[in-house]
Amino acid sequence: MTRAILALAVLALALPAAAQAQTPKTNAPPGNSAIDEYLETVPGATGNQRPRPPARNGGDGAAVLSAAERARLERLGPDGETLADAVEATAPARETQAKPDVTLPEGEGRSPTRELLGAIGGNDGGGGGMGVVLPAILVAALLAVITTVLLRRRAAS
Amino acid sequence: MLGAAPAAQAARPLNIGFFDGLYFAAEPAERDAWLDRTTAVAAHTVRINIGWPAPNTVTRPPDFDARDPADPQYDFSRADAAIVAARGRGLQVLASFTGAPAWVDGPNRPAGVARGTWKPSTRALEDYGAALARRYSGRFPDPARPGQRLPRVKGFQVWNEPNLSKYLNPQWNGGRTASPALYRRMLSGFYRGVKSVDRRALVVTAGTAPFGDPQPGGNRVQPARFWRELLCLRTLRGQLRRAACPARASFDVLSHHPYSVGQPRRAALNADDVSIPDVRKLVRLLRGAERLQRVLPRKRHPVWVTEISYDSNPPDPDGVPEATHARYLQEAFYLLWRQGVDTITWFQVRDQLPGASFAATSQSGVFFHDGRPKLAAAAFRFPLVTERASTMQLRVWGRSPRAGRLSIQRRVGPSWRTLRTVKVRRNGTFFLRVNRFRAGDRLRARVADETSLVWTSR
Repeated sequence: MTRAILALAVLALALPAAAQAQTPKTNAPPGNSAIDEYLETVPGATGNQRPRPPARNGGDGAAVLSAAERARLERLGPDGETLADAVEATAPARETQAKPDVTLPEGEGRSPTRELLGAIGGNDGGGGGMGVVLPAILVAALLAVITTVLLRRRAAS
Repeated sequence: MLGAAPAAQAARPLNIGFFDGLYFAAEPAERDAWLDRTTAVAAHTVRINIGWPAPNTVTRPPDFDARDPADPQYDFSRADAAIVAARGRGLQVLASFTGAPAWVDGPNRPAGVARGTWKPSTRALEDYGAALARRYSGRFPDPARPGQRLPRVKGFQVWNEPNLSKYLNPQWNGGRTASPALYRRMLSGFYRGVKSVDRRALVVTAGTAPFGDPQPGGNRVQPARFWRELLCLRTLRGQLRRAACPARASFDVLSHHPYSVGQPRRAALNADDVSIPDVRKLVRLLRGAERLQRVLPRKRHPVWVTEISYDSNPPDPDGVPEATHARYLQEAFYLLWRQGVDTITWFQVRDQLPGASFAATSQSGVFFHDGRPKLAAAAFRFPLVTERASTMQLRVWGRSPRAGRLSIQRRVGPSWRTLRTVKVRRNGTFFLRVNRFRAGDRLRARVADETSLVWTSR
């Protein structure tokens, strides 16, 4: 049940990110949107950059989560580790990652929600990416996981 | 506030005109009617796409003397008729072509690449340049009018938007650009051919498309990058420097097509893309190339815009409203003139029919398809633009369709009050300042019995 919820959350995150990676954002002259050669590529859209590598360790690009951030998530257990994988696989590249509305100083906060927001938001600033939507989706998924775990423990006890 | 202004204006001139396929493709009666409308809106130049009227065979035809415009395997009849009709109305002609017969393609053309776009032979372009220069030198006998000569063509434009794979291939070779060097060779070869016959004829580069693909391997090269590499330049700490160059480019005029996705003052988002207010990027590159002796001949090269336009609504539902269309046309002319452009050919005198879709066709004419004028026709003929110079002062720019004493007037209640008067030449530009302006002032220019559209200052 828990894994099913997690799988759904990862799928919901992966689809928009994959779509974003396939289709560069463009602007068209008024009235000539079907004339491809006159489309202006919007800088910072995913299609204007190399696709971010999915590899968690090494690969040919920097991971989204630092080692410390990943370690904090992994301390939450198998679910936290799975969520860390989901963040790595679907977040936009670090240099275009939007600052979310909620930012937390690193190292503060012990709840899984705070840990996850801190790991995703980071201090990169910049524009582009999914902005606060990505953290919101992940938070919702995490809450669903936590609720399920708690209910199972209550049922067991 | 009335200016003592009998002195003639010395503002840098601006030649304006149109590029429209109907000048070449339409039946004679229709073509002539549209040439008449072209002159009625005070156009000076027409860009006519005359093509490359040689046999379109895979191999070069035997016994074909490509340098001789009288060779029977050429068919210049349609081009001759269009040029005679235009020159007969006092219009200057820029004869352009893009694409080539199949035998001009380089070897090993990939299957997915259109014929006539693959590594065109420099030698073939040189021969064609010589043929064109000879035929339209003003001395060549007109086969359709015995005893008369074909008129002289002012300039020849080689290719169109060479930074697009639609017109030229390859654009990229792995992670490096290929089209700048390829087009440099094409341009220089064509230049040699033209100048071998007529040193006075102008060789105009193809106009580059405004946007490219930022990543290697796409279908386009960004125009500023295209010109930087064609001109064998590089930037180092913000300064232009020479780059390695097998041979310098040769041409007389640089051209660009600065279409915009927004209003005329909206700059391109990417550093190497070039919309209307970004043409200065290309002017800077060109002046740098001249200073660093990276372009031939060694002289100051003019900059032209051989395509620019906006679609209007009506008829295009996604076009700009008609009044805005007229405003954008005037503002584009002014902004380009300010950046040093001295010739502009607006894309289309007449709207295209939508065909499959409005989005894939152009309704950018200053006339509707049925011949009715849009507001843009009046704007084209007598453009007027104001721009805030300071809190209380306006710059006023325009182009007069008549010679005489021109008045700049401001709306005051129900009447018009003259702010300045200047003497102007026919089709001459004026550029002056008026004082005590307020945002929202409505101004117009008046010369003889003709007035411009009203321009609302902002």
